[in-house]
Amino acid sequence: MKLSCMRVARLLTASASGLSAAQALRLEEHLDGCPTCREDAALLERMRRLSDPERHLPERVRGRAIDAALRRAGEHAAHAPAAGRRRAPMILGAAAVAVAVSYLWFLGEWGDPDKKPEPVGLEVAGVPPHTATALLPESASTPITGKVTLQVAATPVEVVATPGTRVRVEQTRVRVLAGSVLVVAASGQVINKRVEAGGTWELTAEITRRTDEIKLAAPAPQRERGAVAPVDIAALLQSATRHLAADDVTTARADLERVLAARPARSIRAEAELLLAQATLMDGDVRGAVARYLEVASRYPGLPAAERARFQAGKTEANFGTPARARELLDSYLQQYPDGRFRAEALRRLDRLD
Amino acid sequence: MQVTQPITRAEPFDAALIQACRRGDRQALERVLRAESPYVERLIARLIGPGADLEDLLQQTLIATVESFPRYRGEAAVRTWMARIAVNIVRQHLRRPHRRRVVALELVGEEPQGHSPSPDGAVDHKQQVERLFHHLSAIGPRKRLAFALHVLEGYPIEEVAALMGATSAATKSRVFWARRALLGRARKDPMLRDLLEPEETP
Repeated sequence: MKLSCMRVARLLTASASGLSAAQALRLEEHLDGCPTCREDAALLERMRRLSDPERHLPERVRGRAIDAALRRAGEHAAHAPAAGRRRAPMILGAAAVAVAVSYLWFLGEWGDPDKKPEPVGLEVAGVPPHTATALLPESASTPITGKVTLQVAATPVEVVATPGTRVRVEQTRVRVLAGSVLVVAASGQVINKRVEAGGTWELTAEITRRTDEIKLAAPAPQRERGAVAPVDIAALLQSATRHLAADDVTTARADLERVLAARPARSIRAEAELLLAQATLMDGDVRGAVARYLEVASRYPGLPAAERARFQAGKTEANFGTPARARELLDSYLQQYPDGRFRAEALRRLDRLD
Repeated sequence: MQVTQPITRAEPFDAALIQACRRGDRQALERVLRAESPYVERLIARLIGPGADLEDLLQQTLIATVESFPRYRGEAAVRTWMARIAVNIVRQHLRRPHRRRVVALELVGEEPQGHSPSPDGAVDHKQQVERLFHHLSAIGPRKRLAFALHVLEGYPIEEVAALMGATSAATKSRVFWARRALLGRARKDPMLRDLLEPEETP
């Protein structure tokens, strides 16, 4: 059986030693007749060699690192509990001290413990898109709209909120009171988590400062009620597609959330959700992506996006998931779309699975 | 998560030595760290590229190793366990929003042994290395690490998944997208496009 370029791509990323003799032979055959894959293979091989660390730290520098670690071992030994002693009380004690210290720190920062911080009115007028940075006090109940950076921790937490969303900031978490938000990033880590009303998200860092200062970026021009203009929706969809192609999943996701927040027509909504499924896949969440594809397929029957979504679910399983599930999903696609646009590819993939 | 294959063929340390390390015995720790640090250093260098951060990250990894030794249960080889610590530390480093992005041209000290390339060739090589890691830095940390561990360093997917605490499916997907993004960027980069030219034969 001949290998496809997609299959070759996966074999090329495996180390040479990870291939069976048969795989290596088939790979070689494919490369002989496919200049694109041959180019990829050459580039990857040169990258491997280029990234091979040819210089090592001098012995004295490595020795310095080892000495630093051993000094730490000495400090540890001096403070460590006797061998065999239970550690649980110490851990609980340390946790209690940490809680007390952070509580005292917060009191110190705000003085009067009875005085509740005033809610911060982060009134981002109008409709998305807006970008704001809000440094929120604890217990603030805050209405937010659009794309907002909540600086409640050492590093900002970026959220995209639906209109009418209110959040309350607690010590190490933010609670959504109404509406819903997509938490885009926290502490530099992309988390892409949707939180509905009643839900919370935990902050990954301690709150290190609180202030009532609110900085708003220049607001977008006011529009009529009802969100993003049609031209913006088209531009946002294009922008999302472009960002996905450039592997910038965060921006693509933010664009798509804005499209969905604008309550567009059903076909646009289906396209946006389809792209969100792809973003989920690009984040490495295969299960989540397949679930999203299937959701699009069942939610928008009759639309082109639904057909593509059903096929993509099977293709994703075939590429990254389990063959049995891939077969099931591809069969289901063929049953539902016997003359579908992806029929030939679905049959090819099923053949390969066999 | 089980590591399905050993990461390397490293000889295991004897149980008494490991027990001494758990107790914080300085000599035992020194023996293990001296034996394993070149491997850990190489791994970190492969993940982050040349630069001044290498020594910092190696030191952080060794300190974390010493501090964690009392909790080391021996389920994986010491080298595998230290690799996991190193990967975590590099991942945290890559996540820092304001981490140094400059790739130092000069690392400390010793010249590579073996062949001595021409000055022009050496400069080109350095620039290519810089460009490669520049493009890698544009890829998200998890994808970048999965790609570097699997494609550049040659670990099987299952081991990369174990090192990163991820599923094999997620790891495969990360490698796929990282590869796509990196090849796309490399093809547009004149400096890296040169890599496609056939190598000169000696």
